[in-house]
Amino acid sequence: MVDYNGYIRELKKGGAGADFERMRSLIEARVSRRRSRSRAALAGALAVLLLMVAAYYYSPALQAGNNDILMSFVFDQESVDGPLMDYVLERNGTF
Amino acid sequence: MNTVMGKYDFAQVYADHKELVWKLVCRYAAAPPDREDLFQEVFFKIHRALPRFRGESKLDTWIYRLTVNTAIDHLKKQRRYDGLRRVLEGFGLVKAETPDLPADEAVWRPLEKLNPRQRAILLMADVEEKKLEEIARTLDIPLGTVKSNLSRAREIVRKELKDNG
Repeated sequence: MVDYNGYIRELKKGGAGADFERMRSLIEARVSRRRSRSRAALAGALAVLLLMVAAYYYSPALQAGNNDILMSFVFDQESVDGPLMDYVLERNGTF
Repeated sequence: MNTVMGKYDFAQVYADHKELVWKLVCRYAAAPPDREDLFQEVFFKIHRALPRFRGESKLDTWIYRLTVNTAIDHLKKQRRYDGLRRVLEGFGLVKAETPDLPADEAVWRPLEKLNPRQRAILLMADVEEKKLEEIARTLDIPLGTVKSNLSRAREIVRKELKDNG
């Protein structure tokens, strides 16, 4: 390996053999891990989206209004007051 | 892994190109574990990119370009890692690492003196005997840059062979 051309001839000889089956298994495992991670990321993003939608519809700070079914109960309890609520709240009522 | 991606079946692509990719990988990485890592990285990228391959070039050419560019990225990362490791070794924060080199280590020493791009250009021009225009297309750089890098790479290797050959 003294001159440049001799050196290039050495490089052309190439490398050792490889266990292609084993490496293929490792690539398959990596592809499969990536798919699982993608699914998990998608599920996570969907969950966050659902939580944001829920927060928008049910948060008093964001969407408080007497027209909502839930908020009408909080702000206007008389509208649902009656024997049923007496029974639920144990206010000596009979049902 | 019988994934059919567009008109290409990944298993078939692997079967048809594994030897070409391995041959290239062996020219860019010296240590056997590095070679295997690089080989897997190339096929992982092929798996990801194959559905988007529109056949504007031949599949062989596309795989060749992807392999060379992945190998250059690998060499850049390796250099950064080696540099950081040397600094940490200097401060005694980590133990000196014995590189896991192949038996023909002497063949690799001159190449280690080149930066990743110079090494790729020298290998493509002198070992694989590619035309300079093709090298410029593969690396997406101007022809003048290929010529200047090749000239500098040959000079460095010749000097290294003269001093240590």
